[in-house]
Amino acid sequence: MSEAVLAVRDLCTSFATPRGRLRAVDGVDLELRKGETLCLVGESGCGKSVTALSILRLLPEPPAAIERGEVLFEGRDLRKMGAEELRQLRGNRIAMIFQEPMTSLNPVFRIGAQIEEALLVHRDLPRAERQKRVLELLELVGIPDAPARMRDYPHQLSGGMRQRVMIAMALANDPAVLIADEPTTALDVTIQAQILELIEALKKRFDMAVMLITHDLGVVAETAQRVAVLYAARVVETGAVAELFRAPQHPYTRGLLDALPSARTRPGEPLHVIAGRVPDLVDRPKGCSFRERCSRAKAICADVDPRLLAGRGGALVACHNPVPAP
Amino acid sequence: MTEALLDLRGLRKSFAVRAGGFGRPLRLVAVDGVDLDVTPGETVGLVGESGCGKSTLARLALRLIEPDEGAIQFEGRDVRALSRGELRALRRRMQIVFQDPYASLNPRMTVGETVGEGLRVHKLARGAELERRVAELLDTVGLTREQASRYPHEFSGGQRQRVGIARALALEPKLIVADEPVSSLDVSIQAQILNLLLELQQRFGLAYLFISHDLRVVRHLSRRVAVMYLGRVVERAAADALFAAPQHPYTQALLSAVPVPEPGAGRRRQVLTGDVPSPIAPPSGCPFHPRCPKAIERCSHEVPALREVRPSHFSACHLAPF
Repeated sequence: MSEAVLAVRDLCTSFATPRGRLRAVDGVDLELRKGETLCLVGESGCGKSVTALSILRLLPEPPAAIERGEVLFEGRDLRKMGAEELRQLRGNRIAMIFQEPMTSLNPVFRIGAQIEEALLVHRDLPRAERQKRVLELLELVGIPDAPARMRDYPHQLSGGMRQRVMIAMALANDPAVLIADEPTTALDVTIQAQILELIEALKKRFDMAVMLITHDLGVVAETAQRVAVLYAARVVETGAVAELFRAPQHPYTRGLLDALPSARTRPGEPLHVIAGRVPDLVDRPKGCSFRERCSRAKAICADVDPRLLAGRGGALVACHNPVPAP
Repeated sequence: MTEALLDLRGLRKSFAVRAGGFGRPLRLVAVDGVDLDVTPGETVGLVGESGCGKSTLARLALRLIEPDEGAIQFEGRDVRALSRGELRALRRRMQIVFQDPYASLNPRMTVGETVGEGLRVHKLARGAELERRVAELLDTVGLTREQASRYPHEFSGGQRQRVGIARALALEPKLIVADEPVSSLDVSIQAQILNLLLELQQRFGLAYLFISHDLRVVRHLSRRVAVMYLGRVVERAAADALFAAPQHPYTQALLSAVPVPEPGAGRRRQVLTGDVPSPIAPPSGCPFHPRCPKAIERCSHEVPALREVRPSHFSACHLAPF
């Protein structure tokens, strides 16, 4: 087993709401290993994006508060770092890209200048060197005619090209970890394929570890080595991707896979449905958060919160009555 | 062959756009000579990426916008020749469900008012009868009667989409045009809405023109599928045939780009280069040729016609069949 570059331990993040504190991330443990892609998958509100933003401490505090937990990067806890130390790390050793590149790019600056700024913040390079590096980065992420394009403003580029620019900025300082939050969700499927291939190629070339956040199980299957499934602010199952898809152990994972039209479903036949809805995270009920929607629930599920424990094949599962092997 | 419920012939629609704010007005051809038909009780899937013209086509089919050219027939009647009053009467038989259940419901109307609005406008029910019909419709789509007095903001995305479906059903239509009805929903909620659409089709003999960018969803629902690229239908066939043996390089690329939830499926993904060209300045010849891995010289100057390359399987590619 290769070593973890980034480890998250018992992370809890909450938001102040008029009804009380909402725990958006509630005791999440994660481990990102060198050279791998780890996918965080789950539905709206499960806490996957808040987890990523908490790792880099990008949430406005308040209303957000990281209540407890550790975020270890190369042995150091990001939560104990000062603002300056953290700034040194962000966009440098750990970089992040977002779903909508238009909102992450500054509309009034040329894209070349924005990439140059990413270099300027973290490196002391002469101007000519910086400009050379900008060109190099644009070419690296597959932007054709880079010398002309670097003078473009963000609105002059298509969604796919803007995401490439974001990736170029993220890679500017050779990060060890890339966190990508739904990087292809706003893109068409043929452009999504291009961006996912690009991330994969760059990951190999620079020996990065990638944490990819997505709601699309297809994307998980095609990009990840390992996957963590989140439900109601917690990791409910985590393990190797092939095993998780072949023999999911948490009833929620099973339900998600079955709800998707795929080669396993017959056209026109009813799809599997997960009845009910996600519990209220302001007033989380006792016991397992999934039990009211779960066909495998037992008496104990109402009383005892299941902990994330070792399941089959090296996976971790938070369930009192996991799905047996097929 | 059953007679078509909806029959579109040679539809064309362009819009005036101002490029960059200063340039002289340009024409954007959103739909460029499209033929499509839907027979009673069937689902026709319409797929394509952003800007391919699929939503414009949906609005043309219902005459929510006027085409520049082409013919629209619904139950054998020429929709373009109808007076306003006649068109309004016809609208009862063809309804639309939109993608965004947040934007398409009036926030100031209760859900009951929204669902019953069509019945009131068409003077089909009032008073206690209206209330009874609304309650029935809410039941039909899996909501409760008590929810009739609530406002949209009290509902989740999936529930709002159910309201949108109940509203469409109120007038007992024969055709529902569904424009990306599950695109903004989570997987587990998406499955619920897809099941509901299938169940309603069975129960009421509805036909759907189902528009989506999600090929997995289209495959699950549709009997026939049309694929659009830059305003044109480039392939049209029975769903089974189209997914098993696509006859247009764009469809082939589109299918291969969809991530499948089966790790190590060992597929060779064919990744298209480049972006979709601007519909303001579409390429000469075949609109797909600049991105097409199979393009030959002819493709750059000769527009391929949609022709039958296999029985009932139409492709607009010079090189088909494959």
